Formats: sequence, structure tokens, C-alpha cells
Amino acid sequence: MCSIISIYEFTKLRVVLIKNQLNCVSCTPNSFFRRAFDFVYTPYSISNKRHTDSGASKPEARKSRSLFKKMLDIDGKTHEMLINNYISNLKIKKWESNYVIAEKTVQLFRHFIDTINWSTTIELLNQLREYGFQITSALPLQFIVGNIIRRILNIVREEYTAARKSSEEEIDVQDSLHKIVTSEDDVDDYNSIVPELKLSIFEHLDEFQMEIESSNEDISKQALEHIHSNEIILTVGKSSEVEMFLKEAAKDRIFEVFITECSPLNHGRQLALNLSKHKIQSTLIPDSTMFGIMSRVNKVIIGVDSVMANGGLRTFNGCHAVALAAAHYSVPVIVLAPMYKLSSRYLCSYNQDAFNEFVSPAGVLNYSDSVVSKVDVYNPTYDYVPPENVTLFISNNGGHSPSYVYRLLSEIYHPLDYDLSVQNK
Amino acid sequence: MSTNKVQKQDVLQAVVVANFFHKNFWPAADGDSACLLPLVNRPLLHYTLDMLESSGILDVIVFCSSGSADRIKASVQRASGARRLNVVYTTSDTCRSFGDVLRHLDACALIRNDFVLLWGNVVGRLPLLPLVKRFKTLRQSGDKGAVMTIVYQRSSDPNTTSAADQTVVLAADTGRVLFHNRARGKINLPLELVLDNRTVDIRRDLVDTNVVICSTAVPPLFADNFDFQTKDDFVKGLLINEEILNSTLYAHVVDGDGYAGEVFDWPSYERVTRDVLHRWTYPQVPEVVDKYSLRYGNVYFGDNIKLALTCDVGNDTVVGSDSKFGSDTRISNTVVGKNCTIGNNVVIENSYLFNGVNVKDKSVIRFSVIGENCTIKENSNISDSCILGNGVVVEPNTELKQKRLLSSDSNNKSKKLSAKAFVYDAENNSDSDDDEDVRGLTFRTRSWSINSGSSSDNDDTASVAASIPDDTCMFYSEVVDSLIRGFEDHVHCDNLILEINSSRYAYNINYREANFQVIRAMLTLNSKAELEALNQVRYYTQLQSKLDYFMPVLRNYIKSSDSCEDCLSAIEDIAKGEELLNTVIVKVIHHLYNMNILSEESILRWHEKEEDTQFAKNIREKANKLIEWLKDAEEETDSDEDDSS
Amino acid sequence: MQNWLEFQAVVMAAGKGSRIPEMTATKPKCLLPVGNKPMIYYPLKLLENAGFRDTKIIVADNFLVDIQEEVDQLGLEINLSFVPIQSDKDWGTADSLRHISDNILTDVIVLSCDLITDIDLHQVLNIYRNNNASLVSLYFSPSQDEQCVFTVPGPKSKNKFEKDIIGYDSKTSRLLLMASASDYEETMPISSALLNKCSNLTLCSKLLDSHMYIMKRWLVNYLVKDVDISTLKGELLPFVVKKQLSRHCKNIALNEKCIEDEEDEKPDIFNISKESDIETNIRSMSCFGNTYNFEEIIKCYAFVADSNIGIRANTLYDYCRINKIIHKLNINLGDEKDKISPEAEILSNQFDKETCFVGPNTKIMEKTSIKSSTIGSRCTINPKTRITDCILMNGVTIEERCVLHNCIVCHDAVISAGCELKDCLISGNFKVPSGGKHYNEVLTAMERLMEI
Repeated sequence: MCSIISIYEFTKLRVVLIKNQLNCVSCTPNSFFRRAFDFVYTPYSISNKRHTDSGASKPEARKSRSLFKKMLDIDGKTHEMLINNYISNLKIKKWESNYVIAEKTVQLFRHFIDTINWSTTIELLNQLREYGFQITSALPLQFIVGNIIRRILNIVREEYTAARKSSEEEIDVQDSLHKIVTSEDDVDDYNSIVPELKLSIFEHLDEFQMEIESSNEDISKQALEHIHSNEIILTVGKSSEVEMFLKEAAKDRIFEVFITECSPLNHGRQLALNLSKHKIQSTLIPDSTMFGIMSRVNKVIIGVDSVMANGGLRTFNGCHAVALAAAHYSVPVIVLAPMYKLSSRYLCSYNQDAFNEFVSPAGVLNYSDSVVSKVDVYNPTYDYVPPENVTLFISNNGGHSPSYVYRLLSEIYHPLDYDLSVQNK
Repeated sequence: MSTNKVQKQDVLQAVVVANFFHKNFWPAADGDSACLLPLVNRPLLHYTLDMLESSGILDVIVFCSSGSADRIKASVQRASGARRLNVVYTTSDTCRSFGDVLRHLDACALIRNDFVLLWGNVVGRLPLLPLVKRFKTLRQSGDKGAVMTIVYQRSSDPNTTSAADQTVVLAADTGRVLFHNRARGKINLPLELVLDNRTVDIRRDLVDTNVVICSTAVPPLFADNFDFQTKDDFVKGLLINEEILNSTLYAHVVDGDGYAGEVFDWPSYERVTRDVLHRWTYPQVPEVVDKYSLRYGNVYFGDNIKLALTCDVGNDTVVGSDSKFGSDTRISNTVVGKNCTIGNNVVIENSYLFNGVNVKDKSVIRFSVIGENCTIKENSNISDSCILGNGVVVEPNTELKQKRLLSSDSNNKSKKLSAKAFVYDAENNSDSDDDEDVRGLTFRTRSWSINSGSSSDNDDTASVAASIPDDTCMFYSEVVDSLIRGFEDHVHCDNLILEINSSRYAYNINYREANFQVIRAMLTLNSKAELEALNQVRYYTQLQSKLDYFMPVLRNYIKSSDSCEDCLSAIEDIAKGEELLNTVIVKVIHHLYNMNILSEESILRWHEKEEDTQFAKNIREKANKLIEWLKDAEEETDSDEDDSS
Repeated sequence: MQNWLEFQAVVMAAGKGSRIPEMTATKPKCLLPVGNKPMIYYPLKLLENAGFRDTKIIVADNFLVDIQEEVDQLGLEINLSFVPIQSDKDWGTADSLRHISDNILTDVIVLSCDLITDIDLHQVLNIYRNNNASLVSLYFSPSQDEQCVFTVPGPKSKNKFEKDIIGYDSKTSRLLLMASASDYEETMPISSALLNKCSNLTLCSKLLDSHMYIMKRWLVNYLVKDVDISTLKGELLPFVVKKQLSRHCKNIALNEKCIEDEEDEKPDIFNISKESDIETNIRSMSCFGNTYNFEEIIKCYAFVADSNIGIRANTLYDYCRINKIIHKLNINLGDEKDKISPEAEILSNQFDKETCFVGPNTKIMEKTSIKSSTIGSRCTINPKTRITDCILMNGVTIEERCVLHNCIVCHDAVISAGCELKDCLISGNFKVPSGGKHYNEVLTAMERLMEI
């Protein structure tokens, strides 16, 4: 039995729920419009279709609702079990890419928000924080999970504040910086009951999910601003963002790409293959020759596992060397990082156990090699690149310099959520 | 319903045998619950189940003896990976061997399809599904008679791993098993195997993983052949009767695409622990499956541990949660369980401490296993592969070497040491237990201490064998092999003689040369490492026991006066290079004389022979006493004869 | 002057071709045509492609002139020096090598004249260099494709493979065992010394020995000392391979003793193979190579070529086979004019240019059909003949109305009018009487009466 509800079902659920809400909750025309607007521009074409096809026919809605209920019943999984499942899936590396992990996390928490019995927002927040703490402490190396959880908490908080405000005055979408700062001054205890909060949270979550989904596209749209004709680009290993970015640029420009193999996983080979299929002139080089080639390179473009709060990178093994070589030749280093990869964590010391992940030495050395019993082999997955070696971040919201990361963080995460272990009152 | 049935047939099953039918881990664990033995603070069975789970197998049948079923069930429920597995238990009390288990499976008809069969002691990560798929396609398209794919792990160090003492011959292109031999000596390969196959691989670097992929035909095969007790029996029987049984075996060698290790005795326990700590089993490593944090040098710290400031933690060490360490304590290459308390000034090296162990101040533990909830009191010294069962209390100032300790004396077989410590006396009980029992008790000094191990052994034989023409040299090494094996496996001496004779013909060695080499081989059986550990007295007793054992062989070769001469010159030759033998050479000669192998005349003649080297003179001087005695005896007998006549 | 050379090459071309006596009675084996070239062209070209500038060719003295003449026409750039040996002495390859040992100053690569392959010689040389090998031997794995099934001209006989058993370490490709299947009866004992040395021994029974060896100079020294060895493959190689397993004297005192002991018998190979002090120094100072190999002095390696095609054309079967697949090989056979000589006069309209070779001064009349055939020089093919899958050596005359299929016609033979020959071998200077019909026969002058 599949424990994770697929995207399809979620969208169905959303339709049902919202219809329910429409029927029972009185709402201002304004917010109704917003909701309707959302439907039309919902990220999932399938739900779009379903919505327009079935219209507001009630039997259909009831049927799908009961279907969903039934599914949950069969599922019969408590939150505890879902969390455990989720954790073990991550532990055995069932989901490889960060994008999938992000998506699954959003889905999981969406389910929690839906099923947790909450009346006040603080209850919801505390429960979510507890789950979040459970998950992040079990997976200390999966930064992305923490990012998503904090982001979702922030969404809840934002929606609450917005709803509170809208009840007082008509919502101003473009809050000025000044207004945000001042409004946060009056500390809110999240105790008031906001009737349609759940609904607006879901809407916001959809936006968020859409943001995750389209982040690669948004990043690659900026490709032409950064890659010019006849440039030589160097990249490390394989990253889906970089791949898309280069392919997008190749539509208009002719340039050359050098790809380091990125041993021991050698993902670079796959990227080289994909790019050359796309008629991009690409050259695969061993990691060790990277320095020799650097003097000819115009730009280094790399992907990232996650961006630390100081603007440093946790990224593929070997990137630090590349960044240093780039610094030596004054080659700009551009990092493609979607917003969900921004992490609120610092690398306080070079403390490997909190930062790096050591995998099986099999990639470095065969077990049958006779030296195995005589040597210790380490196979770390990540490298830390300090912020001073990064020239520019390109996120789905545009380009940022490393020193600006703190500002982005305060925008997307609530300061209270940095530490999930401490319960707010 | 029908679709449901089809689905069920497609489900891949795994059978985990959780009863080992051996007592290698006793007294730390019994045979039937040894799969719960903690390896890096986690029961072995959990590793096995996690491996199955992560490789995508969901239906698992666990076989266990009914006595331990409840404990195993309870343990499995705690396993993180097993949560998603559909585990079925089957128990039987009549099963006495691996073969019985398969006969039991056949009787229960639990097997619906090709299945993965493994023991509950397999640790690792293996992509099993592709292997099963390959096996299926093989059966469908290639060889319909294929009944089993045996999974081997390529070993890192074929010369030192004890588990690797098997020779497997594979057809290089298909991976079919053609020949299998457990011994380490030379092999006689049927010529047709070489000629019928394009390329044949003779492999000595393979270690059993105890993972096999079986077709449904395997349990009935066991049921039909009641003499199949172990997997080796099965392999052997199938290879011999290939035509009759119409079944073939294949092998898959894991190298690079995974890792699998089997824990069947203490040396393999040590090896697999090392591999887990070195992360070969990733993601089944401590900090992923449990709450540990990894430090540099493969050091894993559990939650909530207390280390004194002056405590020194060396490489490859695991400290379980809630353990405490006193000041100036040194630990390295050690796994410490949960809730252990270690006092001040304690030294622990190359040891395994299970949960709840309490070690008091100034104790030393080396190369040992300490069972759960043991207490080691002050100033104790436990070393050289001691195994302590659960709950043993060692009184202060105790020194233990190569002992097995129990907390209670159940059947009066043990010697009482203190209220809660009984020494299991292997020598007294040797009749009731087989030799297998002793086998588990060998912790090696770590193989990476470069000077020990194989290299020095080789040098050893090399220096001895120097200056011999190579055919003779080959013959010599063959003889040494035969003798060592003969002594270890208690081969009958007649067979040994046959074996030596056949090598003699193979290398075209003349009779006298053979005599010379056989004696040499016999006297040099002890490896250098062993020699160093022995003092003179013990060396002689050991040598004597070996000589006594090989007496029939000696008698066969040393018959004439010529051969006596060869024998003596061989002894002299060896004594030249062997300090220890040199000291006891007279005793040896005397012993051989007593056993009527050397004649008086030959000894006297040897003694009288003029030698100009200093060494030969020395020896003869030493032998003076013996010669005098001999002469006396001769006169006595002469006079006796005179008297009687 | 030549001391800086890394290798010296020696091509053994004195073989009599005793396995194909029908063709080699009057012509040396190395001059039998393969494609449009004599056989010896291929090993020479192989050397030339690998960058060799000089080579020695050992030839039988009675054929020296013939061979010199023909090889000079091949247009090779490599410098050749011919070394004649007496043909009546029946020397083996080792004897020949011993004969020229004074002229061998460096490591040596020995090739057989019947080796036809498209392998890159550098691969083999690199094995030698990488491992500091004493000896490297080249093997070909048997061709996988069974497509080239064909009938061999002449009486039907079973095509017997040599059942050599080669054992090598699959990881390092170290050659550790050489034996012949006939040495054993039912079982093949494998000593523990061998198994201890190599934990993954691969035994092959179907490898084709190319008779190409790269050897250290000291092995030649050894050959000079040990006069009993007469062939490389049969005697020297098994001996050296076996010697790898035996231990050698370590200290000098014992060494001397050995020499005394064995002076009258055999020279100790280990003494000869001892490396000079400077070499020891070089090796100990370099960080290159495998450490565990340092202790050993004799190291034989095998190079097993998988994908390449390699054939020793020393049997009729292999000779036919190489002639059929020579097109497929990656060997430069020259341009179009080499394949079909412009000096040939071809009037035929049914002549397949793609699959045929024609030598100079050959006349092919009209109304002939020729396919997949090799035709030497000075041949005359008269009208109304049909020739498929044939090898026609120089000076062959085929009269009118003949049908030849899958035949080998040796030099200066005459096929009289109206013959029909299938799967036949016609020896040199033989005249097939007119109207004869022969299938699967060998037609020679000596046994003419018996055969017909």
C-alpha cells in the first residue's frame, strides 16, 4: 500500500475541500475571487481540468471525497507511522534528488495540516514543530527537509497574520518593508481563531509547491543574462539546475562547456552525455585537470546541495577545489540555488559529523583490493565552499550576492522557527 | 481472487534461517539465538532484514527453533527496517542442520517461487532483485537445470582470511560452478572441465556470503537426498551427480556492486565489524540506522555518553549510548555497548563489550568478548580471545587468557572461579564437544600489523627452502601442505603417505631425496609466529606430539640404514636454521631412536662422520651424551646376550 | 649506435611449413600469398606500424634469394637484414635466436612469419613495460563468430585444435601455467604453490598462441648457456613460466653453492636474470610499479587479445580462413592499384572488384566470371571459366571452360580445358589433365597416380 499520497490525489482533495469550504463558509467576494483565480492557475493541469469538467456537481465531489476518506482509512497510518516511513525512505536513499525530497516533504506536511486536530494556530504550529523536530533530528544531514519544514511554518504564520490583518483592514498585497517591520512589532500569540485559515494555508502551500516545481525553469530563464556567445563554461558533476540552465542558454547562444567527472560518482559523464545530445559542445575532463583548464574558463557554474546561512555552500565533493582555482584566476563562480535550498544553518566549525555524509568507500576502492584491511578509506559526499569564493547566487527570484543571503533567509523563514526544538508558548 | 493469486506468485520471497546449528559464539550466544548477537550494538538479524528490505524484498520467512522464536519475534519487532516487511515465522524442533530446514520448508510448502535463501547472519547491501532477475532469465532462456546462484564476496585478502579457504572453479563466460573444494591445498581438476569450457576461472579469493538464490527445485532436492546436511554437501552432491540430478549451479561474485559479509565465527565477526565501521555496508552504518555521531577515524559516539577529559578514544571505536568512561582510560578498535560503565585507568583494545558491562578501575581487556551485564572488577586482565557469557562477574586481580566464562554452572562441566564465574574447560570436555567448538576462539592480532601474517610466513619457508632445486622445492611445499592439513583434519596417515607418494612421482623425486624432504617438512611444521610464542619445553612437547602423530608416515619412509642417514642429515639441516630445534635436537634423535625409527648404527655412524663446519661439530658434541648412553646400552645388550647365551 | 633502442625485432621466417606440405614443397611458407601480399608482409608491416626501423629476418639459406627478391618488392620502409640459417640442420626457433645472439643487444621481440593480425603492437609492449616483465606472450581468444564455416580444400579431415592450456592471473594477466592437454590424463593437478600465488587463476584451453614473444635480453643469454633448448614455445616458455613459481637463492653464499652443484647440469636461470646494481637502484628510487612485484625477478605475462583478429596461418584451415577474412582486417593492404594491378589485363565483364585481388601481368579473358578470389601475377585465365572462392598463385594457367570453386592452385600449375574442381588443392607446377572432375582432393605431382 502506498503510504504517500500522490500529487494527483492531493489535488483532488484540494478541490473537494475547497468546495466544502465554499459551501459552508461565508467569505468576502474578494477572497472568493482570489480562490477562483487560484483554481485556474493551479499548478496541476489535471486538477484544472477536473475542476472545469465536473464543475460544482455535488455527487462527484462527494464521491471523490469518500474515495479520499477511504484511502486514508485503508492507509490507516498514524502520523507516527508516516513520519517513520518518510524517515526510513530518506535513510535508504529511496528519493535521490533534492527536488523529490522537497516535494514529498510538502505533501507530508500538507497531510499533517489537514489531519491534525487544531483549533488555534499555536496548536498547529506546535504540533508541526514537534514533527519537524522529530524528522530533522533523525535526519541531521538532510538540510533540505529542515528548509521545507521551516518554510511551511512560515507560511502558516504569514497566512495567520495576513488573515488577522484582513479582518481588520483590507489586505494590501504589496506591504512595504516599513509596514512589515512595524507590524511584527506587536507580538502575536497566534491564539485567535481565524475561520478560513486552513484554506488559505493550502492555497499558499500550492503556491509554494508551484514555486518548487518551477524553480528550475525560473532559474534557467535567466540563463541568457549570464552566458554569452563563445564563452567557456566549467561545471562540476551533474546538477539538474545547471543542465537546464545550459540547455536554455544554448537555444540562443553558442558556447563551450567543460564538465569535470566529479569522481567517485562520476555523474559528470551523464551530464556531458545529456548536453552533447542537446548539441552543446561539451568536454568531459578528469577532476585533476580542472586547474589547468581554469585559465581559459569564463565562468564557473555549479549546482548546490544547500546554501548555508552565511552564503557558503554545501555541495558536491570537489567543488571547493574548483572554487579556489576559480578564485586564483579570478573567474566568477555562479551558483544556481533555488530558494528551497537556502538553509538557516551555519557551519560553525569544520565539524564533519554535522555537515558531511560519509558513504561506502566502494566508489574509491574495490573491496577486493588487498590494501582494504590496511587503510582507512573515507568517501565524503559534500564539500564546503566558503562564501568568499562564491560570486553570485541565482535563485528563482533573481541574482543575489552571498552577503545578501541573510536577508533572503529572514524573508522566507520566521526567526522563531530557526530552532525547532524549543517550543513556543 | 485470481489476479490476487497471480500477484502472490510474483512476490519474491526470502527465507532467513535464524538458527545457525553451530556453537561458534557460545557462550556469548547460543546456536539457536546467535542471530541476535549484537554486531555494533545491533542484532545481526536486523542487518539481514534491513538488507532484504532495502533491496526490495518484502515477503520474508524466518525459520527459527521454537525455543528462541519468541525472542526473535520480539527483536524483529523492534527492528527499524523490518516494519515494512511481511514476516512469517516457521519453527521446527526436529531440524538439526541446514538440510533439515530445507526439508522442513519442502514439507510446509511455503515456497511458491524462486526465492532468496540466506542466514540470519548476513550483513551488507546487495542488489538482490537484479540477481534474481538474472537467475530467472537464465532459467527461462539458457539453462533450465539451473537451481541455484551462490553469491560470493570477493575477499580483500585471500591469503589471510580464514573464510576463504575454498577453491571454486567457474566457467568464465557463464559463471557456472564447475568444481568446489573446501581444502586449501592443491586441487585435481578434471581435465574435461578445462577442455570443454572456453575459459575457466580457478578462484581462491571468494568468501561465502551465505546468500543463495534458489529455484523451487531446491527444497525437493534436499528432501530427495537425505545425506545433504549443509550447503557444501548440496554443492558437492550436485556437482558429482550433475547428470543424474540434472541440476546446475551458478555463482555471482560481488565486487564493487555491493558488499555482503557473513558472521559465522569470531574472526568473521571481527572482520565484518571492521567493515561496518569502515562503512562498507553503507547505509547500514551506525549513525544512519541508530543515533550515533561519526567522528574522524571511524569513531561513533552514541547519545548521552560521558567521557572523562583524559579518556583516550582511538580509531574504529563505537561507544553506545549512555555509557560512561573514567579518566585515563584508553580504548581503541573496540565496540562498547549501551549503558556500559568503564572505570579509570582501564585499557580496552580490540574487544567487544555488549550492553551493560561494568569494568572497574585499572582493568585491561584485549582481544576479548564481554557478554551482557558482565562486571569486571579491579585490576583484572582479560586477554587473548576470552569469551565471557552474559552476567559473569570477574573478581578483582584475575588474569584470564583464552578462556570461556559462564555465569552459572548448569551441568557441572565447568570449573568454578568465583560465585558468578565458571571457566568452561575445553580439555576436559573435549569428548563431548567436537573440535568445532574450539574453532571460534581465535582472534587474530590485527592483520594490518605489517610484520605478522602471511608475509613473514612466506619468508620463513623461503629461507628454509633456499638452495633447493625447484622441483624438490615444490615437492617440499606440497609435503608441508599435506602434513599441515593432515594434522589439522586428522587425516589417516596411510592417506598421507599416498598423497606424499603421488607428489613424489609428480615431481620426480628420488627415494632418498623424498626421505630427506619429508623429515624436513615434519620438523618445520610450526610457523615462525607460533614458534616465537613457545618456549623450549612446550616446543618440544608439541613437536613430539606431531612426530607421534606422523609416526606411521615416518615408519614408511625411514626403513633402511640409508634412509636413517637421510633422516639425520635432514634434522641437522633444519637445526642449522632453527634455534629452538637446535636446542632439542638430541631429544628428537633420542625420541626417534626410542620409537625404533633410527637405528643405533646409523646414529653412531652419523656421529662418527667427520665434519669440518663448526656447527656440525657443535651438534655432535651435544649428542655426545646420547652416544655414550647408546654405547652403554649396546654393551649392556651385548652383555645381556652374552649372559643369556 | 643502436644501443638506445628499446627493442630489437626478429622475424622467424625459416619455417618449412611442415603442416602444409602440399603448398610448401617448392616455395617457402613465408611467401605464400595472403590477399595480394606474401605472408611475411604482415608481420613486417605490423612492426613498421609500431615504429620499428630495423628488423632481422631469419630465413632458410636455400630460400634466401627468393625471399629477398620478393620482400624487396613490397615497398616496406623498415630496414631488413636477412640472416640465413642452414636449412638442413633443422633448427628450432630458439636455435635460431641463439645463432644471432651476438647481434642482440637489447630486449627482443620475436615474431613468426605466419602471424597475421591487426592488433596494436603497443598494447602488448605496454604490458611488458608496465610490469617490467621478463617475457610477454601474445594470445588470441578464438573467434566468436561461427560464420566463417567453410570447407577446407583437399580431403576432408578433422580440424584439430592444439589443446594448450594456458593459465594466467585474470587481474594482472600474469602468465603462470603453460601445459598441453596431452600431459594429463583425467585430472589436472594444480599445485598449491600456484594457487597461493594467484587467487584468481584463469585457465584457457582454446587460446591461440601467436608465437610472438617479447623477452628480456637476459633470456637470450640464458638460451646461449642452455644449449638443450631448441624451441621457444615448446621448451623455453614452459620452463620460464614454471621457474616463476620456484624460489631462488637469496644470499650470495648459497648462490655460489648452487653454481657449484649444478655446474654440469644446467645454468641457474636466476643467476642470469639477476639485475644489475644500477637497475636495482633505479627501481628502488622510482615510485612506479607494484610493490609486490619487486621481489620477483622472473615475471611472465600474457596479453590476451579479445576483439582483434589474429591468425597464425600455419595450417591449411587457418590459411584458407585468413584469405577469406583478410578484407575485414584493419590492415592497410594498399590502395586500389595494389589490389588489382593496373598491369593486369582484365577483359572479363563478370569480375567482382570488391572481393578480388589480381597481381600484375595477369590476363583475364572475356567471358569469365570471377568472385571472391585471389589471383597472383602472370596468370592466364581463359574464356568461359568460372572461378569462385579460389586462391591462384603466380603463373597459373587456367584453360577454357573450367569451373573452380574453393580451390587453392599453387604457382605455375595448369588447369587444362574443361576441368571442374571443387574444394581441391593443386600443388605447384602440376598440370590437371583436361576434362577432369575432382572434389575434395589434393592433386600433386608426386602422388599423381595415387590421387587420381
